[in-house]
Amino acid sequence: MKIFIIDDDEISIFLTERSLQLGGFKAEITTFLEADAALEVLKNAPEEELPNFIFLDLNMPEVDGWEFLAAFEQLDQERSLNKCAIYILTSSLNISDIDRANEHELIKGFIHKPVNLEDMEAILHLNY
Amino acid sequence: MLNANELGAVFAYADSPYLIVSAEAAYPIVAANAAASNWSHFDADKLIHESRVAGPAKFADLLGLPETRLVDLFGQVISTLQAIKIKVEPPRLPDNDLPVNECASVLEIFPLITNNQVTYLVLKVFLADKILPEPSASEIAHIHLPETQQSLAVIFDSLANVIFVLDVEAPDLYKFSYVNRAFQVTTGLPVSKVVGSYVQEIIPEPSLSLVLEKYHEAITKRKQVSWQEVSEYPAGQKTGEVLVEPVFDAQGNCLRLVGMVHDITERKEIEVNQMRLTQDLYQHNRDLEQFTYIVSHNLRAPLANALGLVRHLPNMPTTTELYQQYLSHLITSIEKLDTILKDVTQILSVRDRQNIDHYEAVVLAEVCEQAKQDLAPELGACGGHLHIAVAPDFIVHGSRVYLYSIFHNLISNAIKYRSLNRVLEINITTINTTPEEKTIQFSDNGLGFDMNKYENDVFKLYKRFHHNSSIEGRGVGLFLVKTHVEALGGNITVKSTLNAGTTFTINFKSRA
Repeated sequence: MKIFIIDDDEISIFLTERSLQLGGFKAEITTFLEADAALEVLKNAPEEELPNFIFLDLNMPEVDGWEFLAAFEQLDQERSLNKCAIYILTSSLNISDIDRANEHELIKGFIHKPVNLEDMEAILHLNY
Repeated sequence: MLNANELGAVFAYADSPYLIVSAEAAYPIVAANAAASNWSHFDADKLIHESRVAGPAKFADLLGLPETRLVDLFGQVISTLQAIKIKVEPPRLPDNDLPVNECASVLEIFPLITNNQVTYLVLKVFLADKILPEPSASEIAHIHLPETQQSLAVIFDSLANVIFVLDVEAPDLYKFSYVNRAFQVTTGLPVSKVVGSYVQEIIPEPSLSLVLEKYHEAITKRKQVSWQEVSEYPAGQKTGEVLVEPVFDAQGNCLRLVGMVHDITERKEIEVNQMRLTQDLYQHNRDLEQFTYIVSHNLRAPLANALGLVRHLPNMPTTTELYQQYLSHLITSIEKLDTILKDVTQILSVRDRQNIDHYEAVVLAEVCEQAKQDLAPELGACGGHLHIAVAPDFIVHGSRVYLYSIFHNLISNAIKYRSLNRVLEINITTINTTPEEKTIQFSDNGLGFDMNKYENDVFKLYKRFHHNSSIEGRGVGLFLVKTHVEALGGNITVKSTLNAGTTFTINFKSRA
């Protein structure tokens, strides 16, 4: 299993990684501090290298989470990315963000930081 | 002679209650102004209707007079052709708390005369203490009026509202045949100059076109027309509510227009000021809301990290390297929290002190030089140049600390976001200095940013546009710059081109 974590906060990445490990994901985790870099990989990677899960932060400089989603949907037209389940990771408690996330079909779920083990176990359970 | 509608129009906006009564038997009311409706707590239509049905009984009650007494008074005015004044004590009505309705009021009855016959009676009610220094021993005071037509002019001149009469000489050709004194007071144009002049000689564009259109409308629709207009007169810009009534002859040709203007300039000015105040408050409130949102959001991020880290700790052996990593992340997160709280305190302290008078005359060139010196090590390290071309007499009135902070932040930013492909050049210049306004330009040849994307976010708290993790920054600097500029009563704008540079423009209004 392959997982991408896209977040500009290194400590937050560390926590997500640790939670995935503790939650029982046996996965190869790739982390990105910038959404651009992740898009580049998604564009060029062979099918088998595509991630099963993408954990995406919303609030980032330059390309933020929403812009990543727009680019991702664009890319999905060119090559099928539907094996990637996207989960939003955010510390925002803003309800409008959740509403906005629900408009994107590709988003499988919305996780509030801090990530906890139960979240991760639930995701694992839901997908396998 | 004017008809009842025209008379009504004349008194419509007078402050005192006016009633116009036909001089025929039973004395039906033909017109009542807004003040009369307020005073009596009956709308004009109801007053008119009641008097048609029940004669003068209703307003005799309102005035606190026996009906027979009032009818006697009418008879007296009609037979003598003379106005009378009488002290009345209108009863306080159960649902009327207007002070006008208290005792010591005066009722004045004017006759309006055509061909030696009284056609209408004009009733006016006003407070006694304004007009009569002492109530006379006899209840009735006679006033001798020389000519009744002249007395009408006297009444018109006593009104605060503008009254005018236009003769219609040809289609769309109107000549002033009468204006009252208020016309001169309001516009600043002498009555003698206006009477005998055509409308287009008196009323300036763009009001003129509007006015002509409305006159035309009143004539073709054969009814009263009203509108609001703003005109420039010798007495200044005036906003008025205008009402025009066409007068027709037996053949249905429009002979003249009787007009009235209620000057609402003051009310308009108050409205505009209130609007501005409301907008300021609204903007201020929005700023505060946004500030609260951003702060809570940015406090939440490191707090969530700390919380997440702490939750993992209980099950972790303390001797492992992983445990040390957790601890170090925990410290970083809590330090971040502390930094944000310090930012908030600093920003709030600037806002708090915005209204405190601690103005001094600050020589801008000195402040720039000081910031340059303090940042010399950083400037030297990157090989950049800072050119200060500020006149020695360029003075800003305000806090030296804020002004220093503005330039320190701008220079630091320029160094941080310099382009690595060229030598950094920073220019501080002053331009366009008029006695009213001082302008400072701060420009660099750095990385710049995409205006289309970030124009609205540049000065927002915790917004960053460069991901390059080698550049330190929290997105506080420009927010503070803006806060300081605004605390000094100025404003700041920005223009930028990606990979070419950024220019900030700061305007200060001179303090009188």
